[in-house]
Amino acid sequence: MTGHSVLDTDILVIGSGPGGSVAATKFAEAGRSVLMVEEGEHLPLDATPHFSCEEMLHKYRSAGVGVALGKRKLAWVEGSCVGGGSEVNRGLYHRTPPYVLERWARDYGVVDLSPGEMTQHFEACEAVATVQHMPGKPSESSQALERGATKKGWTAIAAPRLYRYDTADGRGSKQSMSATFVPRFKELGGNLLADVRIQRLRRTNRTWEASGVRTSGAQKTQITIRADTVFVACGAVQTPALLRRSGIRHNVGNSLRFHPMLKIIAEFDHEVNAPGDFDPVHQIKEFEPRFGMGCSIAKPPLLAMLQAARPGNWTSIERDWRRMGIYYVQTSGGRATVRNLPGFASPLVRIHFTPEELSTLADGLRHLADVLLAAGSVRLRPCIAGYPDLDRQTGLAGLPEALEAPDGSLTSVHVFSSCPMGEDRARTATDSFGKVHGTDGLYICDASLLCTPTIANPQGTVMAVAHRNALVALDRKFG
Amino acid sequence: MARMVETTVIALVDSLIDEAGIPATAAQRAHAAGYVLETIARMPDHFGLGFRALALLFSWSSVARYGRRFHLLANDQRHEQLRAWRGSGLSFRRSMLAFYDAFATFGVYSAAYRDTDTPRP
Ligand SMILES: Cc1cc2nc3c(=O)[nH]c(=O)nc-3n(C[C@H](O)[C@H](O)[C@H](O)COP(=O)(O)OP(=O)(O)OC[C@H]3O[C@@H](n4cnc5c(N)ncnc54)[C@H](O)[C@@H]3O)c2cc1C
Repeated sequence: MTGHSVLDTDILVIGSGPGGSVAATKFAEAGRSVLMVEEGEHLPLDATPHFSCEEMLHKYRSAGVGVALGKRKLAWVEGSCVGGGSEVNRGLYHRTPPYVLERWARDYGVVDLSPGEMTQHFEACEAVATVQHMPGKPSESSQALERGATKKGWTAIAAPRLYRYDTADGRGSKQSMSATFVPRFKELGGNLLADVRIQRLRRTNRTWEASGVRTSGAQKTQITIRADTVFVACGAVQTPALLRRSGIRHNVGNSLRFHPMLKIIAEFDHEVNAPGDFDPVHQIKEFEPRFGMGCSIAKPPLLAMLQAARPGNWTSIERDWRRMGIYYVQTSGGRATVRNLPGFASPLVRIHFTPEELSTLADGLRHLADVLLAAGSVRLRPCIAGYPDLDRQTGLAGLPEALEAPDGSLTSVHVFSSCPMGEDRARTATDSFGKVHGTDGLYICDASLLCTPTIANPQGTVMAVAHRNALVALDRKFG
Repeated sequence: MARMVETTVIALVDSLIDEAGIPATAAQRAHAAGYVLETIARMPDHFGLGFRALALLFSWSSVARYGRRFHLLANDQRHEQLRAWRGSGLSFRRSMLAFYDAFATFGVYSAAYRDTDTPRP
């Protein structure tokens, strides 16, 4: 390590994902001196192809390797670059379901969070990061799911995306943070430092000191940032890790939640998956909040990875990938903790599922298989080692009542709830607006605050809650 | 030590590609091995430490049976060792191979199917 730099700012925002970027932009709009630091690289949206090796290495945390340990392991991924998860995700967009907000108010004592009160915050975020339905027909793999749902009489929707469609044929631009809030933040005079990882926070003489490391090529420099107010927006795993390293532990990192997901590859007798197809957008809402279903991008490397070590994988993918789609079912089960390990930079995440949660996952898988057969799939390959292929003859026989998943079957792209907000101090880490209990000038503004899983895709909620909390902090003059 | 891990991982990825019957070119194999090595370098540090130790264990565990480390084995001996670890009663052996299966597969298919990234005209 060579050198040491010291910086001063009014407000320090740590992490530039949807939570950090939205809050930082609000503070810059209010004319405050704001520094936003980000551990990952600052790369243009098109620097790496979507779902490529390069993207995994440069835009995902730990190259896409995150495993929550336990009797049933769960593999999850997070973004780590300027813009955080918004750079790598598909931008499927929902406002928070009203029943979720009502539950947070009831069970955690969150005030001023009614669906009506949140509307202005959703609208303000959607004015900067455009949300649109695609103008033309979605991909065939997406429409297949909708057809299956119609046959079963289940409710399905085509979700809008954080995407601006410029032409009728669906071309346009993804509305990630690096394409929307971050440029706005910089235009307003905000300072952004990429490649800076904050390791610890310390309070001295009414000032916060954030110490960390700045990376530039092979060179690493120590950095200390002094700020009156700090907003921690490192995402639902790194935020509790940073706070716990800094000695702040009350309800921090005890209640991490995911949307655990199981996948099925469905083979059809016609082409459903063409190169350059638009992202599939259909989702089945019929069984929410117990479980939801949807479709994923199904490029050959992803299809292959999901059934790695399956005999004959290469030949079947080479021959049939255009007839294959990837579909998922996701629940909200599993509870996890985040803890630091002495001598290691990465936190340890441990997860536990109850027997009911495992049977909900299994039930969800059966429903997904059912709807895909109704959609006309000729063969289903559950992406769980040891599970049999299914078709119209076999039906759903062979799918167990409770999930018996070996490593690698359960995955998630959504993490939240590790530091819940609310007035019920026994359950929460912050007040209703993200101010950390028992501290001065320290806030959380990311997915950690969301009291429970959002059931719907979470980024809209992360942004709206950050917007709401930033306005309240400004209004209260950070007091 | 780092060199030993690297040699083992390259041989392991190569053998997995052979075992799966993937007609990959030398460049595609190199891409997959490079990708897997880079992933190990960037994974959470506590896992990275474990993975390096496991790679060494994997490499040396063939010595008792064949008198040589993994990367020096003939193809059929390598495949036999892969089968043994995949079917092992020790879950860490199965988990390790599940990781390499998944990431080597993603790496080699990404190299082989680069053109499918092309956006629709
Ligand atoms: C593959 C994928 C697909 C997804 N699909 C969707 C979708 O379609 N729709 C949807 O609504 N949501 C989706 N999500 C989830 C969505 O992206 C997240 O909910 C959202 O990004 C969370 O925002 P955040 O601000 O809490 O954290 P993040 O986006 O995780 O941002 C946190 C940032 O903080 C940085 N950071 C962490 N620690 C430090 C530190 N110590 N110092 C400095 N910087 C640090 C990280 O590098 C990261 O960039 C997806 C996520 C992924 C990964």
